Parts: sequence; C-alpha cells; structure tokens
Amino acid sequence: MALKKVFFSLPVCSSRWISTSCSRSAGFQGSKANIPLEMKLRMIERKKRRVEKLSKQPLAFIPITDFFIPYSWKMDKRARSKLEISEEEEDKRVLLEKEWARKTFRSRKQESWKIKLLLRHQQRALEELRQESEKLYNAALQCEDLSIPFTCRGPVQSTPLEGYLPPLGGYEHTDPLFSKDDLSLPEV
Amino acid sequence: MSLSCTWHLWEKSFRVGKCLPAISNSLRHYRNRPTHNIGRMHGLEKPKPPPVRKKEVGTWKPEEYKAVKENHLDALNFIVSGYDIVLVEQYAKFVHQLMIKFKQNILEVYALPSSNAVVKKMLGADQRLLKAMTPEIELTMYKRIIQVKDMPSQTYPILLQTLMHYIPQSITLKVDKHNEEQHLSRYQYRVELAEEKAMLQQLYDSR
Repeated sequence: MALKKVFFSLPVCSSRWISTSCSRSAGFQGSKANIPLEMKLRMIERKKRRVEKLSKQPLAFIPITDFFIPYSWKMDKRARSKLEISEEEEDKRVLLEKEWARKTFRSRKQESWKIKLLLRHQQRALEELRQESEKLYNAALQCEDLSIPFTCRGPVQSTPLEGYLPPLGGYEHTDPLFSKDDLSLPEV
Repeated sequence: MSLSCTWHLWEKSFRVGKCLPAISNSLRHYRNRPTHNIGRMHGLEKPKPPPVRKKEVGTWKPEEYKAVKENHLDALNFIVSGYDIVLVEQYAKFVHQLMIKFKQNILEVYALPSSNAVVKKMLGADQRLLKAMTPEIELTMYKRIIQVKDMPSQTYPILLQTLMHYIPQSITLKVDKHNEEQHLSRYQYRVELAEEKAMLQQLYDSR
C-alpha cells in the first residue's frame, strides 16, 4: 500500500513504466517438433484468420520515382548563361521552324488520309466478303490469329563499329522498389 | 405576361418616347419555377462513377477487362519502355492520341515503377564475378502503359502498322493482354502476408 502511494505521488508519465512480469500472449515456448494435434489445429485456425485479415487490407501503389530530382540540384543556383543571338540568326531560326511546321502538317494530313482510305477499303472488302459467304466473313473477323504478344524495337542511332572490342563487363538488373522482399538476407 | 400585354407596352413606349421598352420578351425564364432551364443543353455534367472503396483498391476483377462485343479484343496493354524518358513520354503520348483519334475505349494510361540496369566493367582479374565488378553507369528503364478495351479485330493491324512506322530510337513497344500478374505489378509486395502464408504452409506440411 505504501509503495502504491509513492507511485501515485510521483509526477511521472505512465508510458515510461516497463513491466518485467510475464505476459499472457507470449506464445508457445516449447520445441515445435512434437505438438499435440489439437494444438496444431488451433494454431492453423489462428493463422488462417490472420492471413484472411491481412489479405483484406487494400493494396498500396508502388510510388513512381521517375521525376524525383536530387536535393543538391535544388540547392545551388544553377542557371545557363544567356545566349546572344543576332537578329538575322533569330529570323533564320523562326523561318526554319515555320518551314518545319508546314512540312509536318502536310505529312500528318497525308498519313491520316491514307489511314482513312485503308479503313474504307477494309470495310468495303469485308462487305463484299459477306455477300460472298457469311462463314468466311465470320472467320475474317476472328481475334485468334492476330499477333497479340507483339514486340517492336525502335531503330538504333548508329551502326556497330568495325573491329571494335567492347570492354569486359556485364549488366545487373534490379527490381523496382517495394516489389519484392528486401528484408531477406542476400546470397553470399 | 400575356402576348397582348407586351404588345400594348411596345405600342405605348413607341408613342411616348420612341424607344424600345426595358422589358424584353421575358416569357420563357421562370427562374422561380421548377421548369427553369428546361431546354438547356450546354454546361451539362456527366454522372460521375461512384468512388472506389478503400477495401477494393487493387482487387483483380477480370469481368472489367473482357470484351463486351463479339469479335472485339479484350483489354490490351500497349507498353512503351526505354531508357530515355523524353522519348518514352513522347511516344506514349503519341500512342494515346492515336487511340483517341481512332475512338477506342481507353481504360487507363499509367506508368509502371521504373527499374535500374547497372552497367559494370571488369577492371581486374579479381573482378570475375558480376557483383565484384566496378559499376560504370546506372540506367533507369521507364515504362508507360496505355490500356485499351473493345478494339475491333480489323483495326488492330492498322493501328500496329502506324505505331511501327513512328517508333523512335531505343524504344520498345510491347502489346500484351492484361492479366492478373501485370495488374499486381503496380502494387507493393506485402511482406507480412507472405510470411504468414509461409508459416501457414509450414503448419500444413508438418501435420
């Protein structure tokens, strides 16, 4: 009783007190080799419930770090020196831009026209096919023969050099952040 | 206001001051009536879909990605990937605009998390293993996905042709069906859940 009085009179916050007594939920402390079947079944039930509870939690997106800028870049005052262009040069550049705009507009228009023509021809061909036979028409519209797992690689800027010996080395590919278990120990 | 009433007002205003009356033809406003804005067509808002419930974020719903009409393709993923982010973004924008032009049903346009490729050089005889080599440069692979649904099977080859024509340097375009694996690659790996599942499997095996 006297101890209790002392505790209440001390001006200390309750979260600092650590209990050294044994807790109720310490778990099974014996060896896990020979556990009675009943206990095992109970453990299985508990684990199942825990797994269900965890799997109900909503998934979190992996953050997209594509546009993260290093902090050091923001601290220094980094600015390009101003280029001084003569009026003639500026006029030349503007006229070149306009010429380019005209060219791209014309080529885009031509390409969209070609695509429309293609679609029109395709539609007409399908209609003709339908008039010939319904079976062939249905077969032509099937989705199975299309190249669905399709890959296409863009061109490379330069051709391979003749007689060039590349240095010895390799590539190490890493997985994206938070996509795997990083806490597990790496292979030695 | 009846028609005859307005006509009298007009007559009076012309006779008196030779000017138009201040009251215009206000037969159709009725702002206090429930029929206000009855013929209005501009400024209409589309009904918004209900917000995704927190519990259902990330759940795999295969019905959403199946084609509605016959001879139309299921949800396709157009994956644009490359090491140059400027080109990746520009080409992804091009693909998106092309889909809009062809009036396709675009489900989503999103970015996948980026992965790194470390280029390593072997500078000495003691650096025979990949881990021991000195890293030279770290390149990030950027990915953008355009998800399209219900594409007619006859427009698919035409779209592919145009995309192949315009693909820039060092960019890879991959077209694939959308499945659960690709869907889950956007989300974080749940460490706790995997551990608990492994423990459960152990208990099952030890029975």
